[in-house]
Amino acid sequence: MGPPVLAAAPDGGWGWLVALAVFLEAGLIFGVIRSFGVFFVEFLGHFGELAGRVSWVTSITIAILLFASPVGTSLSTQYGARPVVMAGGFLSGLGLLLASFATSLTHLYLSIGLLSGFGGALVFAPSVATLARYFKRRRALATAVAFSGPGLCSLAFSPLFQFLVDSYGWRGGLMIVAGMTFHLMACGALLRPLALTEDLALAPAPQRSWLAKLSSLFGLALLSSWPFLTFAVSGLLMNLGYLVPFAHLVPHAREMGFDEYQAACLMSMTGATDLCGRLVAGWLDARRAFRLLHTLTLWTLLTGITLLLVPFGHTYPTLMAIDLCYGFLAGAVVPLKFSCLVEIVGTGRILEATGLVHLLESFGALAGPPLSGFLRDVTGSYTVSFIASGTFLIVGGLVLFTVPNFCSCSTTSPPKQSGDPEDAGNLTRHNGDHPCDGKT
Amino acid sequence: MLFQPVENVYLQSEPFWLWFSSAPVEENVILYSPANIALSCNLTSPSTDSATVNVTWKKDNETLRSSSVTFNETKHVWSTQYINQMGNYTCVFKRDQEVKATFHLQVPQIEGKEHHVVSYVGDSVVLVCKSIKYIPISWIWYMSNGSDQVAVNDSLMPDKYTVDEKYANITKLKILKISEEDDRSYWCQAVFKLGESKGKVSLKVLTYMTPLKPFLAIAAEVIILVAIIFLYEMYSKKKQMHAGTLQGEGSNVLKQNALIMAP
Repeated sequence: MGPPVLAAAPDGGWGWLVALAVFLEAGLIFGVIRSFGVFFVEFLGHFGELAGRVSWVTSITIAILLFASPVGTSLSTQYGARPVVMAGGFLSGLGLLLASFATSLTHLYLSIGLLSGFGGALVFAPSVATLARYFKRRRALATAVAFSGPGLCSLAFSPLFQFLVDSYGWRGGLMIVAGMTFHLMACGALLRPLALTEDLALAPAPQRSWLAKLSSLFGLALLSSWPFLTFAVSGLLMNLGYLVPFAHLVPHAREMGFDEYQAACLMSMTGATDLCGRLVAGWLDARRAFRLLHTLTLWTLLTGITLLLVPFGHTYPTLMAIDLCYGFLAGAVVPLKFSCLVEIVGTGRILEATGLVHLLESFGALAGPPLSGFLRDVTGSYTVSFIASGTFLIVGGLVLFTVPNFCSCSTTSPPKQSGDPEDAGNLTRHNGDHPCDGKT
Repeated sequence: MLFQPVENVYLQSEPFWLWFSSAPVEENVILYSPANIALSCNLTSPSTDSATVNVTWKKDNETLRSSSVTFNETKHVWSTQYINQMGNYTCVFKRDQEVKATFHLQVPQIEGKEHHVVSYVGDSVVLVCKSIKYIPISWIWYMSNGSDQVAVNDSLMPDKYTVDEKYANITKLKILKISEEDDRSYWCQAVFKLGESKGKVSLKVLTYMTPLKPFLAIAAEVIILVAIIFLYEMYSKKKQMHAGTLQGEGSNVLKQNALIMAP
């Protein structure tokens, strides 16, 4: 006898355990990525390589995470979320374990970047989809609870990683972080499959050519929509700058002369304010006092300005203050971006839109930290790197001004959706607050 | 306090302001290159009877020949000592009480690393010493051998030790093919014009078993968690099945209605 078919989403019960699972998953994937600056410094020392080359480790991980998320989604549609997430958790942990035996940077690119990144892609998108299925009325609350994961976890992970490095070196530290990452499998086990009556309502999709299927899967039709295109380009530019502090703040702080734990603390404080930023953004979303696009543009510009200020933080309190501002603004930008995307494309196409935006942003994620590292190698300090990343964010914010109907005070209606049965499925599965982008 | 390396000019230190009943004052004076130094102590005396104050200068507790110049002003006694050697110099003002101030003249200090560097058997490690503000003439590395310090000879054993001196103010000792014997302290000695100073870096060598044990413990815990979750699910499914068979037709009717209502 299969799982009982429910008439509507349970909105509670086992769903809260699913929310806990997604919370831990987000923390274990993105919290680890955020706190990786500690290992970055160790890699620089051990491999004697330039900052530009070491930055590829983080950037490849995030890029693969974003790029491969459609793979995760389609595999979970085929086989169910649970096996895919558990497999992804295993791959993530395995990647970090293999990395602890690394003898060259290329080894790190492949094990952490490719393997762990791909594992993360398999974990994240299906988990959030499952969460969306378990909640309907309380979806916003559940998603908010789940996405506080990275902030809270990076609070603890940054000093923890420094402690692991001090006790076991970077190799032993990576091994233990791999063990922590294996908990993703336990989180995956919590994702009990849920059969809803809405699934039975889906008519079988008509047979179409694989090209049409692919284009519908990736929502390539969206590329012809000018508002979406400008939004995606803005996302790409923003990603060039957004990820730089996660990669380079700790090395920059160490170069300024602060000791290991002070630098690690900077990163963990970012996690704390990230949480506040998300809450405020969620509250703003609910209030709808201002047009979301305007709010997003303003906050993106402010984030860029904060990044420009980072090189001027010469004393620990100043740097910490700038860092707290950055954490708050950056945390708010992520949910705002998602809500704006929903506004632009509508809830029907949000799945493909998110996938496509992730795809484009992955190029920004791939190029951002290595570019910043290269600037550091050429100029000798991270000053120019942070100025460049702040500039990218500001340009990304300015591009948002070109979205059509920017200046109107009312929200535009989303474009008409095609009567595609897949869209109907998407509508029911991901109505409302779908997961944010991979920058959580 | 830094003195700029200018020859044949007496560089004046900032005077120490003292008064009777103040605690002894100390200061580190960092000398980078040879210079003539004038150290000053200034006593502020509450009484006008400044002539009865006795001033002596001492180097490392040896009284110096009074080559100092003393200015007497009302309420101030000023004393300057001219020196050209490293050491600890103390000016002592004595009337009925005694007050003193000490200048520690030293070469720039090198900071090693407080916490030990961790590495593994068979791995390689890079030990770094930096002297940021002052550039030494050269660096020498020593390693501890029992209680002695033995120089690290990188030309004799080039496949074990490599010293990288790309920049003059940073020295990197790379140790290859680490074994358990390499678990000791290393000193980087910076040679300046006026002397040398050492920084200490200690290396701790671990085997792969050390982090493997916590890792295996954590992996076992994950497997147990997954097993518990699946077992609980099977258990609750069995309970539902029992409840389902007891309810029998009722639940089937419910499901059929749901199917009918779906568009």
